[in-house]
Amino acid sequence: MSDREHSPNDQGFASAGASRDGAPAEGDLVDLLNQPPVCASDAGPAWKAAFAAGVDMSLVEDALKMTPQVRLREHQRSLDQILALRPTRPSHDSGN
Amino acid sequence: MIQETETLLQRLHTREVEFVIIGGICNVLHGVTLVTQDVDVCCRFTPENLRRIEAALKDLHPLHRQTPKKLPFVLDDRLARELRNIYLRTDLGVIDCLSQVAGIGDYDAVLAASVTVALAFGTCRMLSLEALIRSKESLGREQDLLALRQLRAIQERLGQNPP
Repeated sequence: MSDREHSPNDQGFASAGASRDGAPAEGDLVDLLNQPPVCASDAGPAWKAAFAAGVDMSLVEDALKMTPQVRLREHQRSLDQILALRPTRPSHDSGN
Repeated sequence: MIQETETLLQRLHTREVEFVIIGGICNVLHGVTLVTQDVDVCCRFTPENLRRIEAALKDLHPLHRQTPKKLPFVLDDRLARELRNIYLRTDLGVIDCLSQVAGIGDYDAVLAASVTVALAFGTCRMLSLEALIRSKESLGREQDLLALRQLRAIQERLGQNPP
């Protein structure tokens, strides 16, 4: 297993640092949160290839849980945000 | 700028335009996370169907956006017979109507390679995942590579890998 892979059930908590209730100790939590994204070790070659190409596969995972209709609405929301951020073309008519 | 994808599709659907969703929105419907700014559909290019497209978009001030003078999209008999692609800008955004899809073929081939998709306003058809991948592979465009990677991953996850 590479250092960029983990099993789906592996939360990455070091057992030695875990508290009695299984929650990570504070230091371990920080380490965990600072980890770069990882690709599930049981992912197929195409999934791993997309991950290696820089695709955030967690977003693809999320999309696959949605219906096509919800995907379309989410896409529209994203597009609306992009278009809202786009600067409007400067006017050549200063009005003076 | 505005891009109201769902409303554009709904208008085509309401006017009973024969069309199949292709391109970036088809990617999205299959689960790709990339954002696209236009609607691409493959349509049957008959005079009757083009008249339906015209009726569906008429009040949205459609313009042929590729023409230098942004000519209005108004059909006459010759255009209705001879147009093979329509690239429009409307009050609700950009929509491209194509008569064929690379790697798939004409409208009948695209229709045969399509699946149904349930949207809020009704059921439409979109290119199947396999056909969408085939089409993008045949184009070999740099801009499609990221979508293609996602599509292949989705195909793999859904267990639809080609033999």
